[in-house]
Formats: sequence, C-alpha cells, structure tokens
Amino acid sequence: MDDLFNIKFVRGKIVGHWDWTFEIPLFRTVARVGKPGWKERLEEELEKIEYLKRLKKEDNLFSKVEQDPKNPRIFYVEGVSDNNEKIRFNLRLPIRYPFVPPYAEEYYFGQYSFYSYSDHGRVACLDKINNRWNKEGRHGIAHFLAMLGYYTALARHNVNIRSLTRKTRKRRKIRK
Amino acid sequence: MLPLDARNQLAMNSPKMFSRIIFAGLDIRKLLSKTALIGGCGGLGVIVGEILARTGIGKLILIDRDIVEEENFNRLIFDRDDIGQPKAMCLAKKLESIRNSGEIESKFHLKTEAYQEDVVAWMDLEELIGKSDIIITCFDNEAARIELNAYAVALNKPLIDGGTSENALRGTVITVLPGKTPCLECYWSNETLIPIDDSDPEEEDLKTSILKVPCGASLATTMNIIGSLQADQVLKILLEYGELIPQIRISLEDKLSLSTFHSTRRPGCPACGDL
Repeated sequence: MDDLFNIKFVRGKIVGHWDWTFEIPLFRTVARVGKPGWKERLEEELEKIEYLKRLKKEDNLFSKVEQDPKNPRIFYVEGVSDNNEKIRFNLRLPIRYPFVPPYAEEYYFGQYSFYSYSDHGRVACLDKINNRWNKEGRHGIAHFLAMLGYYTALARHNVNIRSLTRKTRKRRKIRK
Repeated sequence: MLPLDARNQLAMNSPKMFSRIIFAGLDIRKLLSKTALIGGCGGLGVIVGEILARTGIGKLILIDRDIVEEENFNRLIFDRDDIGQPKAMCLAKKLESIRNSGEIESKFHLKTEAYQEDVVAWMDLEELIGKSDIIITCFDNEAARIELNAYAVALNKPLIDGGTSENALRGTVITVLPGKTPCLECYWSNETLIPIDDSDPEEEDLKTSILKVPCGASLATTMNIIGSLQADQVLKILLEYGELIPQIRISLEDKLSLSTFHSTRRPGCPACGDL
C-alpha cells in the first residue's frame, strides 16, 4: 500500500488510485506569459497551486513552488518523496503555454527519468500529460503537478500506464 | 551569383578550400559576413553546421542542451572521444578545426559561440537571435521549435526548420520568411500540436520503454538529405539567389519522393498574425 499517491495494492494488484487533477477547477483566465491577461492568470495559478497543496497535505511531493524573480517563465519546484529524497526541479513554461503543458526540467526520481520532452511522447508521464492537457488553456501548473505526481507514482510501481489511463477516464464519470 | 569573370579573381584571393565554392558562383565574401544560429546539434544540426562551415559562413551560434552519447553515433561527426561532452561545444570545436588553420588568414576563420542550454524560456535567446542573420531549427521537439519561431518572427529573421518523422524515413523542411510565408505556429494550431497517441498497439512495460527508447528513431540517410536541403535554403536566403520553397517533403519509404508545397499563412496565428 502506498498512501503517498493513494495507490492501493492488494495481492500485488492495483485496486484503487486517485488523481488530484480532477479535483482542481479549470482556469477561468486563459493568457500567454507576458500577454494581456497574464497578471490575472498568474494570480489564479498561485491560487490553484495553494489549492493543490491543501489537497495533497498528506505528502510533501511538490511542497514549494516559486516563480523565478527574473524570468516569469521559470518556476522552481521543491519537495520530498516518500523515501525522504529531496526533489528539486525547474518548471519551464513554453511560449505556447497554457495551450501546451509546461515541462519539468531535470526531473528525476531515483535513477530514472520518468519524464522527457524529446522522445515524441513515448515516455509515459509526458505522453499522458500531453494527451490529457486541456487544449483550450484551462489547465495550469497545479494540474500539471498533479498529473506529474500521479504518473510518476504509477511509473515507479512499474504499472502499465496506458490501461490505467483508460480506467481513470471511466472512473471520472462514475465519481460524478 | 558571381559573374564568370569575377570568380577567377576571387578564387585567386581566397584560401584554396573555397575555390570550388567560388567556381560554383557563390560569393563567399558575403557569407563570411553572415551569422547563422543553429538550434539543436543532433542529426540535422551537425549536417547543417558542417555544410555551412565548409561553405564559408562567418559565424555560427550553436545551441543544444544535450551531451554526446553512444546513441548519437548512428549520425555523423561525433565519435567515442566526445562521449559526455556537450554537443554544442563539441560541434563548435570540430567545425573550427575544419575551417581554421594557421595557414589561412584570420578573416577567413570561422567564429563560433556554443551554448549548452534549453531554449524554452531561456532569457538570452532573444539577444542571440537578434544578432543572427538566419535561424536554423534542428530540434527534436515542438516546444523548442516554436520558441525560436516566436523570436524569429518578432525580430523578422528568416527561419529554416527541419525535422524527420518518427520512423525516420520521411522528413520536412519548412522555410519561414516572417510576414511572407507561414511560420511554424501557422502549421501547428492549438488543436493539432499535441499528438494523440491512442494508436500504439504495443502495451509496453513502462520501465522497459524508458530504458529502451530514450529518443525517437533516426537515420543518417534521411537526416543528411533534410540537413542538406536546409543548408541549401540558408545559402539561397543569405546569397539571394534561386527560389525559396515554403515546404519541402521527402520520403525514403517504399518509393523515393520529393514534393514541394506553397502553403498560406494562418489568419489569427498568435506568432505572425499581426504582421
């Protein structure tokens, strides 16, 4: 049983998992970095990051998210994993953000990088995040971190992400 | 292009390595005063870089965030001694060694600037693009391409993009002349940029796939053709000759094919819509 990511194992099989992405409301403001509306968008980003932190209060995976004071398109993320490993990576916002997801630079978990931007989506985290990203720009950093934590958790447990994603979509309807 | 009688004169006053280029009619004096920025020093970047260096470009600015690994050996230039070195710095060193020699006057030397950086959200990028005459994107991801495209369009610099398909047998060269031909964002609208990968029949074990497939497929054959076509478009723009083609596609699959397209700009494109 892994409480950190709300994944429950019974006889070696996953019986339940939780994805916080669905809990975070969609963004009201859609604006590119530095363009009109970005100030309001940034306020909403910070608000939703706090919201995510409250949702994930049981873990400290992404407990600190700070914007670079000089570069508005870089955020520093810090946290602690369930193995008490310190996690630290940069979040870069591409020029087309929020229509495309941010990406996690130097995001390593243990010895593996479960996330990459250069393999045409064949690494699970990026592939899944890209596919699920709201193309109208209504997902933000908080949604990204929620997805990143969720898929990293699955990846670390060597779970077949593709089949789980399908299940997740079905579960979403059931929860409503 | 140089008139016939001027070619002999120029060839006499230039290093021997440029004589064949001058006989082809290219004015290397013009090229020597130009700066090209190459984004991505992988399979395509090394081809474009080497062609431009050997043809007589004055300065190359090279950017790549990666280091040389064994998996890069299926393409050109890099060898085992380069493993672990940043690609951009390594390429710069090799290109300088091709061009620069004590026997050649320093005004014919190649100048390089190399950066091991991720271009997305990189603050120095605008300044580097500002001092370049042409931008060549040879990246393996859309985010980096779109980033350079945005600055190239804003600063009115021509951009030549090259890319190959996931099976490495097809390739595309896109020439962006801001305000005249479609920019990269015209091709990738919000709806089409993100690939929906639901067709993959393989239910691969995740950890295995991470370890097995660190990067997409690439073949030196396709890369060389695409890189050469990119370099050709660069020379045409810098030396102002020939016809520029907005989009060239090649395929080395069952049948060998080369097709050209004249696409139109997308109204309301966030990058070039206001031009």
